[in-house]
Amino acid sequence: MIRSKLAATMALLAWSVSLTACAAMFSSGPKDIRVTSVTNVDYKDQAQFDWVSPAPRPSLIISRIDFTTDTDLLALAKKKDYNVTFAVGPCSKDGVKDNGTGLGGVYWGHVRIYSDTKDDPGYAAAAAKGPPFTYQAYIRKPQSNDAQGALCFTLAGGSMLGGKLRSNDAILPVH
Amino acid sequence: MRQSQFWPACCTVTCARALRHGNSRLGKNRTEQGEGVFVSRSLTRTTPRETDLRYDELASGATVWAYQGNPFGEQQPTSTAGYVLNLRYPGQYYDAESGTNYNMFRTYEPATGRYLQSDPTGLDGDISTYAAVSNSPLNRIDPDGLRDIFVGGFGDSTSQIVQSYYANYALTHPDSAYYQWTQQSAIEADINSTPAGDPVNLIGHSYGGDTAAAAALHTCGRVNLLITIDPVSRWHYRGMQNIANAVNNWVDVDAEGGSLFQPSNFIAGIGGAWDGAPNGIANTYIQDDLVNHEDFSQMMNASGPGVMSPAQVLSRAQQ
Repeated sequence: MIRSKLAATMALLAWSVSLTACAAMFSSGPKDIRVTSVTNVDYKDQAQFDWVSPAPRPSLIISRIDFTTDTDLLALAKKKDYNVTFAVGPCSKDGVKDNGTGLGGVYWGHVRIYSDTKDDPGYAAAAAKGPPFTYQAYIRKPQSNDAQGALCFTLAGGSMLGGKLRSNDAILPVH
Repeated sequence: MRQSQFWPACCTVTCARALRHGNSRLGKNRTEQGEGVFVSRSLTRTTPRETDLRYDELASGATVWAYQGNPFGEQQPTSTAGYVLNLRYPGQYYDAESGTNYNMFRTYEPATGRYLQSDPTGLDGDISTYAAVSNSPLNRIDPDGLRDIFVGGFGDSTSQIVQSYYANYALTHPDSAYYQWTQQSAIEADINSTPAGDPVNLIGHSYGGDTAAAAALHTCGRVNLLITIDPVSRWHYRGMQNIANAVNNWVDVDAEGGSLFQPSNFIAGIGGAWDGAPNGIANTYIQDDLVNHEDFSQMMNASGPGVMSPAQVLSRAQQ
């Protein structure tokens, strides 16, 4: 019994490792991301965020990043089974190292972009018009004592099987 | 006022071993003077917040040892009949010679309110940079007095399904944390070092659900609310009733929607989905026929007539 369970576990591990390695080899994402604006918005007005509290949403200034790409991110997410997120951090030739200020996923208006997004007529109409597409991401407002220097934005996320989403690094304009 | 009994009947051999310090056993406690029960009462709404522990003799029901103090644990306990109990806050064992409390992973110094070693969870490479784990109890007290812990499943390091949900959650719940499913010992250390007055809410997805349940079992009675979102790894054969006994409230969601060959459903099937095993045992069991295994945020909002969603239950736990 123990031997058979061990064999099953080993088989699953081998399968998972090979699948993950395979998925990782095929990481993909747009290479034309461009940040068009960073603006201040109030967290209490952002109904697209899950809110888990008996209290009303607090008034809290956060930053909204608008970016463009020629890739339909929702179509990509559904095709590759991706959860689309992002990272923001100091620009570096080694890539963006996430500074932990991101507030979750990537949005088109109130529509979160991931593999299980429900059909949205508004998005479908916008997608039908073709590129470029504009999306939003949100971060905590940088504190004055945060490290100075240029910040970069990149798409991140992927699938449960290890498929990895990564885009080019785009510089955040100072605001 | 919140009143709960430490180390309830869920305390298995594993749990007793994990929480035993020196010659003191937890749960029903037998000393040379007889058998008793350890009771915790946290006065979470008072200022300053106070916590008291007491030890009641089973035969007479009399309180023979009591400890009441501030969140730092600076005060010494009082006792009658010469009882000496060196247990302090959860997981801590008092060392009279040094005046410090041993906490399995590190030593807590009540006089300064700090641990003498760095937080072992902070050394774990995979932990989120905004987990806000601190070695001071002051930093563990947030306006809602809770400790909410999210546990991502297999592949969450790439997909960030739970991590992205948590990133938004942490903005307004600073005393919360995120762990990977591989970090069970770090999660248990976090739970055991959470002040007694702060209810722990533990939310796990996929393999993270299984890890969360295991951590709840091992920390016996310390988890207030356990939310398991389509947990997998059924081959661990965790006792469903034991899990229910180990926590104050257990909400389980079982994703039954979509195709079996949808990638996340497929991997959940291979991984040993718990499916309906918690049905009739968990305080709330929700079978969602419309979602795939990977849709964590959708399952957090799954509900039915007269049945609150996990997010609603978590929200109520904050009242």
